[in-house]
Amino acid sequence: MLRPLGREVGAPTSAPRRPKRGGVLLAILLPGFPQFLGGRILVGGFALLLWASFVGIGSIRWERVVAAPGGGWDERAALLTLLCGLMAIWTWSIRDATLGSGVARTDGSWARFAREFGRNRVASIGLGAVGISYLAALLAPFLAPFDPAFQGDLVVGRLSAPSGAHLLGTDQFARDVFSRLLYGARVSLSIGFIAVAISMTIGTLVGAVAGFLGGWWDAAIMRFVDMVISFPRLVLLITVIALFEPSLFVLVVLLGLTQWPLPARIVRGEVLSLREREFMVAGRALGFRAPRLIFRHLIPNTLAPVTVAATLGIGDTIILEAGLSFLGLGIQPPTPSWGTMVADGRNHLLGAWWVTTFPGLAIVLVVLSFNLAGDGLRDALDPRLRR
Amino acid sequence: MIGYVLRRVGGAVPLVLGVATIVFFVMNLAPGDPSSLYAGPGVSPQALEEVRQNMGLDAPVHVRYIRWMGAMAQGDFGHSLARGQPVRDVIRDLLPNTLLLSGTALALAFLAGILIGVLQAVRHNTWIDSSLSGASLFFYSIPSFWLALMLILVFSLYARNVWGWPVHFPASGMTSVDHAWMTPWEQVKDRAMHLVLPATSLALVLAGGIARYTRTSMLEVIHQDYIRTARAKGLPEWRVIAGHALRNALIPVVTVFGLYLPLLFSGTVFVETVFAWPGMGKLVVDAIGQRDYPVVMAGALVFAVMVVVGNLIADVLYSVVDPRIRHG
Amino acid sequence: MTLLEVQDLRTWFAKEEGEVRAVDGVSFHVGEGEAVGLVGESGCGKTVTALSIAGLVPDPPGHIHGSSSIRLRGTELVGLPERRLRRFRGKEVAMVFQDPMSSLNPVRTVGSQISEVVRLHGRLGAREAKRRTVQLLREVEIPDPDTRYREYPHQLSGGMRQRVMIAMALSCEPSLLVADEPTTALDVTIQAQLLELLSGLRRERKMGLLLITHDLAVVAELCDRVVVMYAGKVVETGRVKDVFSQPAHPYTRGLLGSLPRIGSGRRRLAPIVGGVPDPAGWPSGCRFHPRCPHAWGRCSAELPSLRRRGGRAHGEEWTVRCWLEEEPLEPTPDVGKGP
Repeated sequence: MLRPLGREVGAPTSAPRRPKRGGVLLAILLPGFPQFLGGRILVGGFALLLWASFVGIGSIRWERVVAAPGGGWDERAALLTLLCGLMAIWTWSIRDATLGSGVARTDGSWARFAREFGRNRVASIGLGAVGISYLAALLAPFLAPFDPAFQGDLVVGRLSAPSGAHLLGTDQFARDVFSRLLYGARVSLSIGFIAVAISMTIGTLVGAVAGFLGGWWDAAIMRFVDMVISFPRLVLLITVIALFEPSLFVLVVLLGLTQWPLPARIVRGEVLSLREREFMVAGRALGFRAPRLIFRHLIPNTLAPVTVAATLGIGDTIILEAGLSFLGLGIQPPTPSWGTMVADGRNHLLGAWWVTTFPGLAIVLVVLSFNLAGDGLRDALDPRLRR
Repeated sequence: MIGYVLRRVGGAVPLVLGVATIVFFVMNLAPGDPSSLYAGPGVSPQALEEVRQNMGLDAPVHVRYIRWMGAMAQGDFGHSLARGQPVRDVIRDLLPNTLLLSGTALALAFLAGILIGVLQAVRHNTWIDSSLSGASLFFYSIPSFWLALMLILVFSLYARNVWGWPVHFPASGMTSVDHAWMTPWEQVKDRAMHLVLPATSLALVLAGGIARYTRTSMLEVIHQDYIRTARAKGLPEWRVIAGHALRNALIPVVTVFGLYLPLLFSGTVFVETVFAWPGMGKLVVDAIGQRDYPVVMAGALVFAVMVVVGNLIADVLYSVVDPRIRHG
Repeated sequence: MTLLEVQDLRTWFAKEEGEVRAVDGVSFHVGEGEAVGLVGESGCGKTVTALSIAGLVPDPPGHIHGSSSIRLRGTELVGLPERRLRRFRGKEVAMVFQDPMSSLNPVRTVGSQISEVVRLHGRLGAREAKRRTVQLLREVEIPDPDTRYREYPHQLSGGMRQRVMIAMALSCEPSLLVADEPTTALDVTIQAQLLELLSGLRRERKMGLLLITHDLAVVAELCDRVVVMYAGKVVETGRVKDVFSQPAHPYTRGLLGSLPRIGSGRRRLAPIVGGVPDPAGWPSGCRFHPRCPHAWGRCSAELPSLRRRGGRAHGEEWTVRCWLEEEPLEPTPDVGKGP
């Protein structure tokens, strides 16, 4: 009989842990498979699939992998990702198989949060898809069949339909759309991540300070926030970008600098309600200084809603970056980005729908994954909201 | 009620002033000043200095700021470089087109979004609810410019050239080439046909978000005591929903109206560009390409003012929907 | 014919923690023009009983068992299609809920909420409905009814709102009024006024009243008969004067014992120990046995049936569900117990 290796609800923690040899062996050969058999189909299947594709990439692109240490930064990063990914899956699967349910029983708030999130299957799939898209972006040098800038025969290879040679067809310069899509993911995903990190940091600080100081400061800061929010972000961005030469750096900084009002509002609201709670009053009574109170007590307590806002914000930022690139105000060619790729196909819609369709579809899928994950995070953090 | 509206208008004025200030400083504190862009590259320093003097750029920042605010207050946005006419006239010609497009899209989005949200709440936890939830999140995740292109691809290009559908929609502009020779009735129809695809691509994206809000809000309301009272009266279920639940559920949705305006206008910029719709969004994008700074500044300001005015409308709507606000 | 006849009502809820038998075999009746008090602690199933009578149990998760029977003047309401049930709601059976703050729609005027019922069941025109509504507002003693007609609930005090609820309930001359803790959320002085009003209106209209409350003093003042509920079951029913003067069930005795009485000296209050058990798993046997001071072996093993107590002298309607009632092997002769 197969004993479920996973969550044995109510299993006494002091129960003797019996190392399961077969399970470990299986975990080494096919990590994720014991978990899959144990009933955790989603987690086990995901690990198994990931492991299989890592091994697959490693063997099919063996020459590239071997040549990677001597290559550029892109290749080295890809190699590192591949090795770390394999090690992580192995470690997790073996540990999980030997310890059985022992590990999962820790009942910290994070563990509870993870369990709550894991119960939401759609959100878990969203988070998995987000993870896969980041991995695909990192592994692009191994995954991509062609160099993204490589131009085929401009006479015959131009705007050719999806086929075995070119999975998603070629664009007007006979470049492989699939390869460009993989490299384009790096731009979209990294800009989304870094810009949101910037804006969340600024927003949290501004919101916390406004909420903590209260009174006149709060009113002034929030008035300013209202003003920035009432500006259509895109219009503000294109106005500013018009003054600079658009580059990756400028784009990241500007996207980061224009999104902070939203988290600022969230954090301020949270801080206002936290301010009157016992631990804050106690802190003030003990004579702690404002920075200590803000950084040690207020901000940690607002991390949950900020995380949710960040996850949903990355989706918005990716769409915005793609839009700017689409208008020619973002990433400049020849660097592939999803927005410029959509624009590339604009004039060949009727003849070569694939050039525009696939990059757009990639944006939708990635943004959808972020939104699903964000929704799930919000539900897991605040079970009151779930219905 | 009137007092409330006046208070809100009073609150909006500093907001507009602040927005104008932001526009001014963004344009003036950027590296290099507009004069070099104005005069073009490779101009002699003397000529540049002349341009600077003509533009009043030799004055200190605070003087220029006051001048700019004064000019804005009089509706003087300067002269468009690319179009060779006052910016004010350009805006007067194009703003109605943008308002038509975004107004139609907004109405469509709210109509569809509220209907879908209510349907989901009424059929809570059924397959209808979950599939519509999936659909709204999907549309919420679509970039409007790509959706616009996809709609063109399917309902304009393929519908006409490949599949030969009896109905297909024009892919660009506001009117057909032969618009001037049409009968009044045909002209209306022509305009409506041109409006379908751009308005749809804007509306679908917004409707996804609105449906999500409406659903949450409606689910909250349905469990209130007064809904039970309404049922105890013996009202049919549709009257309970339409007459008692909906209006309460719309209160938070009205706030979304204000929140979504920036999103709507951002979308307008893309959709106008894709559909070559002669409005403010396309104007600003074109002006950036042409380095037509007075137009860019004025455009940014107009968009911001539209959001402020839209929020004002949302506030008034709020007081219409919720009597508790009206009475204080 | 009895006005309302509830027989073996079982309203269960399918919840995550299992089947919750909120109301589990409740029988009682309300005669024409009679006032019956339904009492018990919170959580014992009173409100669910009221909602079941009006057909307002949310389904899912709630469900009224098919074997249950709720008859209104002979018409069986259980299993009646929603469309036909609606004709009884508001017209024959009207309800007044506990919290007047949340029971009125905040975004509609008081007048429109009342006239809506009048128009729905009375088939009146707009003008006629308004006249009738103003008249109703006057009948529930709301000052300046013409102005109040146009006002919103938030502009009214709690007592006024409850009067509006009563006006709404009375608007179609129902034969049965179900009032679920109508005064609990209000100030004591306003409570008295409202009860006065309610009792006067009832007598005038010869309307049946099912008054749900945990306030025994209110029952004593307003009701003819009382039904005592505990843990989803009826434990004692009878005429108010019988039950209150000689409570037979230990639970009823407990309820009465936890009331302070004026004029009875500085007697110690005797509260019932413990709380109402979790409806997801009622205790075995007599559901009151874990809290009963007189419980003995049989109480935890078997559920006693509802037995008639006394005879003609008590209107033949005094019933008790308790093993103590069965224990004295020789039945007490009626003569010894008369008033």
